[in-house]
Amino acid sequence: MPGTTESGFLTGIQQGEAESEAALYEKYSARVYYLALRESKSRQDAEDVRAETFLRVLQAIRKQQVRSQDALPAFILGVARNVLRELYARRRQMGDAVPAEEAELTTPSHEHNFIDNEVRIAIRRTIERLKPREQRVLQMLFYDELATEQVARAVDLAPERVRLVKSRALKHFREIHYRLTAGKKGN
Amino acid sequence: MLHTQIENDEVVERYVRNRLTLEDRQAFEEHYFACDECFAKVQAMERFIAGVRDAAERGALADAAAESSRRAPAWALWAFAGSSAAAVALAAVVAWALLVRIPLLQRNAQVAMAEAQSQQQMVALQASVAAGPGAQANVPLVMLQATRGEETATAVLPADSRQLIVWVEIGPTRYRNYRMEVDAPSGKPVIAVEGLSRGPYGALAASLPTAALQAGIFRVRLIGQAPPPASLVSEYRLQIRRP
Repeated sequence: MPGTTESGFLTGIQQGEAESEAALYEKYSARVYYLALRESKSRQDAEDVRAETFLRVLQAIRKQQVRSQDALPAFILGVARNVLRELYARRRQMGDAVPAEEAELTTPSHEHNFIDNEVRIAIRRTIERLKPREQRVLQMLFYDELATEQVARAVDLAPERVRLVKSRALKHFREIHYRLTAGKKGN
Repeated sequence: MLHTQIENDEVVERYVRNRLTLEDRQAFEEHYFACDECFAKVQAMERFIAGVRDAAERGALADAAAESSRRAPAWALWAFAGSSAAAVALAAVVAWALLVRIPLLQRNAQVAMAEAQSQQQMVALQASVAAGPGAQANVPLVMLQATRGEETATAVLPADSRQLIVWVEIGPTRYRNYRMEVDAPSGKPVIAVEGLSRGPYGALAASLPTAALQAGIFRVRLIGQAPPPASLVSEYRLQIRRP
């Protein structure tokens, strides 16, 4: 398949290959969408930013404005940041501005976008494997927003042990979530 | 940014939790735009943290926390083994209860009554805010008390709330006017309220826009302004939760 590497993306798109454009989009669209969602906290805005970013990136590649293949990821990131800045600038002009750097403080969290049935099941199964004290560690770290050292003192564990609890729980979660979503894709 | 640094410094978790400096955040974004492995880790961490918070909010972790707090620590088991010594101390405990504890409980009861009165006053304040233009029912309210040391006050903000009423009980000071400053979990100042003065009940009350209060632990500082010189009077931890 043409255009599955950075060099392939560039040459393929410059030669007008639709497959290369699709491959570029497939590789980077999730990153652009995530970055935009994180900054804007809005799915609609994230979609708009993604669409505008890829429009500009493709135009730039076609015009051979992206010369360095290694710089392609950073170039796409830079375009996405510019699109976000322009979004906030437009909003500022309209009177409901939220500067990009302050967006995380003044808009609702984006994390609800990551909650779905598979995540809930994976978390439940992860929790079931933990001892009560380990469950408490997770709650204090991620819900009460305490620092690792504070949690360690509160549950009478060494900080290294707290980190171990966290990394093991994350590992279990990833494995369970992967199985759940892989099974879903296979259906 | 190198993988070893990302691993050792828990960069993925700190990025997801907005605990990186601007420079580190931008550097890590440049890294994961080129690194499939790290981007997958970021996505997994987002889901994991969101899932833990979701579970905690739905009470799936609450039982565990309560059970954990009910469980005796290991040292207590050893202490229990020496319980025969406790019998010797029993007489002393009884004397302590009669001479110290009971008067203390009486004082606590008086404080509790005062707090109950204060609660009634706060309810009246909530009602008066809700009755104004653009009235809103069930306005969230949180009480900050310096006497509670490092304890964190918690406010739960429903999605439709626009204001959070903050009620601050302060002891005697030399100031007539105060300024309230609120810092986000990142340390960035997000709200400042000028011209606070004691109400008829001796407390300070302010309403804060909830748009500036994302979930997390905020620092609230109370600074005496007048008469000068200004100085810090008290500082509080305020945890914001959003269901």
